[in-house]
Parts: sequence; structure tokens; C-alpha cells
Amino acid sequence: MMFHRKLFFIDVVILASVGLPIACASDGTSDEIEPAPDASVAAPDAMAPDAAPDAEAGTETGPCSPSKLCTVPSAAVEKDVKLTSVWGSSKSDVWAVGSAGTVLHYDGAKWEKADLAGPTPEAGSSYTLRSVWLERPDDVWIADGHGIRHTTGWKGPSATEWSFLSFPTDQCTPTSVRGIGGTVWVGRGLYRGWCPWQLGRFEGWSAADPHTVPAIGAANASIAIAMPRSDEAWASFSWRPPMSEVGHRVLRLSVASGDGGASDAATPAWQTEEYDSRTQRAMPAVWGDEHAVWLAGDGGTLRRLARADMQTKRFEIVPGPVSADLKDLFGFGANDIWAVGDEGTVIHWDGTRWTKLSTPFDDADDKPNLVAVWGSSPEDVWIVGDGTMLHFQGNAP
Amino acid sequence: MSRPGGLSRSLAGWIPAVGALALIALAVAPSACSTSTLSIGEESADAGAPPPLVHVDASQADVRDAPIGACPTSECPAGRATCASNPFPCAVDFLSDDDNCGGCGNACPVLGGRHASTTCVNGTCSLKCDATYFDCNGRMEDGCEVDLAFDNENCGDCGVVCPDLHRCTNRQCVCEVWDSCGACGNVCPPPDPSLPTFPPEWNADYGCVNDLCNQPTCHAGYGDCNNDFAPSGTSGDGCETFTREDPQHCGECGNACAPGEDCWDGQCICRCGSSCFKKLDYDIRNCGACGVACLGVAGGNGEPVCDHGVCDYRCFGSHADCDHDLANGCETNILDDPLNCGGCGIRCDGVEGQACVEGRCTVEECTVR
Repeated sequence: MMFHRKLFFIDVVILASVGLPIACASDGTSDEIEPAPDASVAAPDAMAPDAAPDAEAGTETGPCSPSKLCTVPSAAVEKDVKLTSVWGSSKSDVWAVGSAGTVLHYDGAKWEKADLAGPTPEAGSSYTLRSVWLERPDDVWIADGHGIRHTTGWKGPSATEWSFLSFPTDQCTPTSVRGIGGTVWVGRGLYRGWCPWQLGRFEGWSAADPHTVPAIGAANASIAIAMPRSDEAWASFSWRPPMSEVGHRVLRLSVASGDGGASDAATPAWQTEEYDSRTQRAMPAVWGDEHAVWLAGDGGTLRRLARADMQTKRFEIVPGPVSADLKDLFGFGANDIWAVGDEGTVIHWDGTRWTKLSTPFDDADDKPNLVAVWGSSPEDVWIVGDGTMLHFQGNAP
Repeated sequence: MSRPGGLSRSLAGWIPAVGALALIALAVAPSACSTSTLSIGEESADAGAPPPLVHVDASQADVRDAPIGACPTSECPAGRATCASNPFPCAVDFLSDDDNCGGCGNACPVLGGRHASTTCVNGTCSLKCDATYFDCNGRMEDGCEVDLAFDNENCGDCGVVCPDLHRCTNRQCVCEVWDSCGACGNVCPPPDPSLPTFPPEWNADYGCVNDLCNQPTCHAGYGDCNNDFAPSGTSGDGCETFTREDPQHCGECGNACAPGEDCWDGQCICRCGSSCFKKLDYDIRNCGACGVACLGVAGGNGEPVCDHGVCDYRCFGSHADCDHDLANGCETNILDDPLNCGGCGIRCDGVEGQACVEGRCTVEECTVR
């Protein structure tokens, strides 16, 4: 396996506006989400100025919905930029990436945009960045065009140092990066041609070539990864017609029973098992924790596999309140899970049912697609999408 | 995903206003319009605004009883009918439906080998010429007999004759003498032997420049990018740059390719075949990165698109992907589907058999008692 790793330094120009916030008008009296007696119906009264909460100190927000989802004009997301992923290590270290080489960083007070333009192709381009993951501020992984971009932390727009792992441009591209601790899984797909591997496990950025899993399908899969535990990852493979009649497969990757990583912590033996998602639809969203693993995707399709039912290897069908395509999942336990999707869709799981939440876009003719969600805590959730960003601050819906 | 078709989006601005008017009318006419009338344009949880309403013939209304309201109906509006060729009620327009032109089953004939077909115009089958063909003699029996793109006697239009030494090409009379200079047929004589010759490495010779014969000029594909080509001098390097492959002078002097791009045949490209830094946002074969192909069913009333570096699927015109399943593309025509009228999930169920016409549920005027 041949890779090319470079370390280089980039002059970064601050492009992001850090202008004055557009505060939400609010009575600030209620932390409750609007009642939703019918889980299948959205609250229609978005953009109600007097229903929006006050922004908390340090966060600049725009118009809010009654569910306390507020736009973030201070992030200065360009309308033509499609943000694809958001992740962070804490409330004051949040990253968002997207098309046209877009990298945004939030330090708890302001968003800034890195201009990755530079003298080499690796330094910057109009490539689409499709995934960002970090657990610590000094270990940030970004799926960037044909490779993986890494930094040891945001040191300000002009001082951030990048290194890059290049894959050949005539091979599949990284679509998802997720990890825990020193173990990071990378999914590669989308390419119309050859794909030497679709799932690779890196034991740290400075480690050698990844441990790879044999490809399970066509190279053009869109691959999403979740890593609920240090000894377990899930990979959701979705194909679009007409390239494959098989629309979806899901794999569980886990440290082989009996190994536990104890015998050789550096290179534990991982095994691969296929589970039944009970759908052929594309499922680009996967997330899990100690309670369950969830999938979400086209047509509002939702699936869950409780830990207690893991031996069945078969996901449970869970009804949802929307028919829009869902794109991402993130949660904070058995009773607090978010999913986002096309046409400004945001839904929330309270442990019993999914409820559609109001957003600031509910009255818009052209609602932006929302494609990623992450939060540092139940009271601090970020959602990104096509030319937009939302911030939730409050009690769990 | 760009689910609704273009029509759906364009309707968004005016649907609420018209729909509101109709619903107001219904609200004040409870007895004339039974409770079922209130469900006109009923939408599912995820649907958009209710559709506006299409009125059938107003002459049916009893004007003695005012005010006049609008009630759902299964009657077709004027010019509309239900025919076997279309599964939806009132979906056929006799004025423009090629399968039902002027009446159910009156299909416009197919013309074979005459560069023409027939189409329904104002309820009558009319001749419709293929692409560049035209019916110059006005005789329907020989169809569209002239190809305006390549006919020397009818070049670009009927009766336009190309002059001597010209041939009609793509609707234009083009000189056939390829090495003409200044005027068609004016071929340059060999260069005067007294003119200085150029070293081979200069990649230069004499040729037609600015309509003048035997002027010093660079060979095709070469350029004097350092501006030292002095035909009468002995210094310099002539036309030193091969502009078909030089990334600093790609295609022409001074046109530098972006970092990472190659110059191939005078074009700046990535190795994947797309302009790395200019087109990856829109190239469906290289969307956001080389080789990332946007996929989707062909012929499904929609097409895959690369939208700012991310693949999407866009429905054509009035079609929409109401079942959110791209395996069958954009399967729904929201112009005439009573279950998706004007938008996905918007149902015409005011009365049994209520139709969807032009994206609107049909109603008729009725009196309020």
C-alpha cells in the first residue's frame, strides 16, 4: 500500500465574519419545547420572534424556532457551500467542513474559516471535505478530497499546521472518519472505478498504513461509520441505483471475542459481521452508544438495534414522523437522540417516539438540506447543512 | 435531494393565496358544501401548502343565490377529459394531447422517414419537423423535406443559396477552400525565396496572418510567449513554447494552469479529466473530487447532478420523487395526480373522483344558502 504523507504549513486568511450577532428576541422564560401531541406533525410556528430563547453568552445566533434551534449568522456560511460534517472535542472546540475546501472552527466565542489555498494540491483545492472527527483538540481528522487532512489543533487561522495523507486520485475517496482514543476508522467509496479498500483502521495519525477490511461491495458506496466503543465500530454502506440493486448493507466491526485487546493492545484482532438492516434504502446515518445502535436514511427510514437484542443481528423497524431523507444521527443516551435530513428536517427521540422539531426554516419556500449533527452535551447541539448552520442551546427537547 | 420538480417550486409563491380564497369561500358555505369539502387540498403531515383550486364552467352556477362559493367536484373543467390512455381523471387536454387530439383515442399519426412527426395543436394534428428539418415546399405529403443545416439551396432558411466555393454547414455557408486567405478561394502563393528562412527549432514559417499572405507566424500549437520572434533577426528562440502541453502557457501564452493541473491538448485538467479548480463543483463524473460519480436512474424523469461539490438528484419539470425512492426516479407527475396535486402528499379528496388539473384540485362554483 503506497501512501504519501506530507507536513506543510498554510497561511490562513480569516474570511469568516465575526460581526455582531443578530440576537434572538425572546421572553426567555421557557426552556420547554413546543408541545407536540402528534408526533407526525411539525410545529408550524417557526420564526416566532417572541418564542425564541435568548442566546447564551458567547454564542451568536440568528432567528430561532420555538424548539430553540437558532441559525448562526456569525459562522458566515456561504450560501453556495454545502457543509457536510460537524464534530468537536468540547463546547469550545467545534469543527465543521464542507464543499469548496471549507473548514470552519468555533472556539466557544466565534467561528473562523480557514482559507486552505496554497501552493500544492494537498494544501487546498475545490475538493469537497466530507467528514471531520476529533476526540481531543490536538488530533483532528478530516476527509478531504482524495486524502485525509490532519492537524494537531486549531492555533488560529494563520498558524494552523496541516499534514496530509494522500490517496491516488484514481481511487475511491474518503467519506467518513470516526474513532475513539487512538483507533480511527476511515471509510472510502464514491469512486466509479477501483477501490483497494473501503474500510481502514488507523492506530493513530503517525502510525503506519491502516489495517484494512476486504471490500464488501461496489466501489461507489457511500460509507458512514460510527464508533460507539473502543472495541466496536459500525459501517453503513449505501449504494444508489442503477449501479447496484443492493441499496444497503451494515457491518459491525469488533475486537474478536477472547482478544479484548488485552493480549496485544497495539494490534488487537478485529472481526467483521454483517447485520440485517431490513431495508434496501440508502442509510447514510449511523450512531450508537451503550444502549443501542441506530440507522437512518432515505424516506425517513429509521432502524434500531438494542444491545440486548444484538445476538439477533437484525435491526428493529422504528416508525418515524417524516418522509424526508435523513442524513445523520447523534445522541446523548437512550432518551435523547437527534436526526437531521433533507428539507430542513430535524427530529428528536425522547426514548419513546420520534418528534419533528420546528426550525427557523419552516416558513421558507426552499428549506435547506441538513446533513450533520453533533453536540458537546444535551444542551449544546450543532447542525449543519446546505449553506447553513443551526445551534441548539437549552434543555433536551 | 431536490425532490420537487421545477413547477412545484414555482407554484410555491401563489398557491397559498389562491388556496386561501377558496377555503374562505368554503368556510362561509357550510351547507352548500358538505363537511367533506373542508378537506380540499388536505395534505399529509409532511406536505407543503394546499393547492389552489381549478374552477369548472362558471355558467353552471345559480347566480340568484349569492354569494358564490367553490365546492369540490368530480366534473372536468372545459377542455379536459378522462381518457383510457391516462390513469388520472381529467388529465387529458384535447387541445394538446397527442394521444387524444380533439377527442379520446384520436392519436396523431406517426410519420416514418419524412423527418417529421405530428403533434396536437389546438385540437388538430399538425406537422412537426425534426431538429434541423423544415417543410419548405408546404406539402405535407413529403414531410419536412429540407435540412436547413446542410442544404446548399436552403442554408439556414428556405431559399437561401450558398455562393460558389461554399458549402452549407450547420446553417452557415462556409468556404470550402480551407487555405483561403483574405477571401474565399484566394490561396497564397509559395513564399518568396528571398524571404529569410527560420531555424527548425523556432517552430515558425510563413502563412496567412490578418488576411495577408506570407506573414511570419508560429506553427500550430506553438507560441512566442517570450515575445522575441523577430523574423529578420538572428537572435531569439522564435516560437519556443508548445502551448498544447505547457502548464504555464496552456492553449495560449500566459494561460497558467492551477497547481495540480496538467495541460493536455491546450486545456488545463486534472488527471481525472476535469478542471481541478474550476469545475469539480458541477462535474457529475468528478463531483467534489476526481472520479466521484453522481448516480441515479436514467429515464426516471430526473437526473443526477453535482450541486456545489455534492451529488444530488434533480427531478424534471412537474415530476417529483414523492415516494422518496430513487429506484424509480421521480415517479410522480404533480400536475395530474390527485394524491400528489401540486406537491407530494397534497390530496384531492373533497369529493369522490375529484381530479387534479395543472396541479390544482378541481372545484365548481356553488351557491351559499
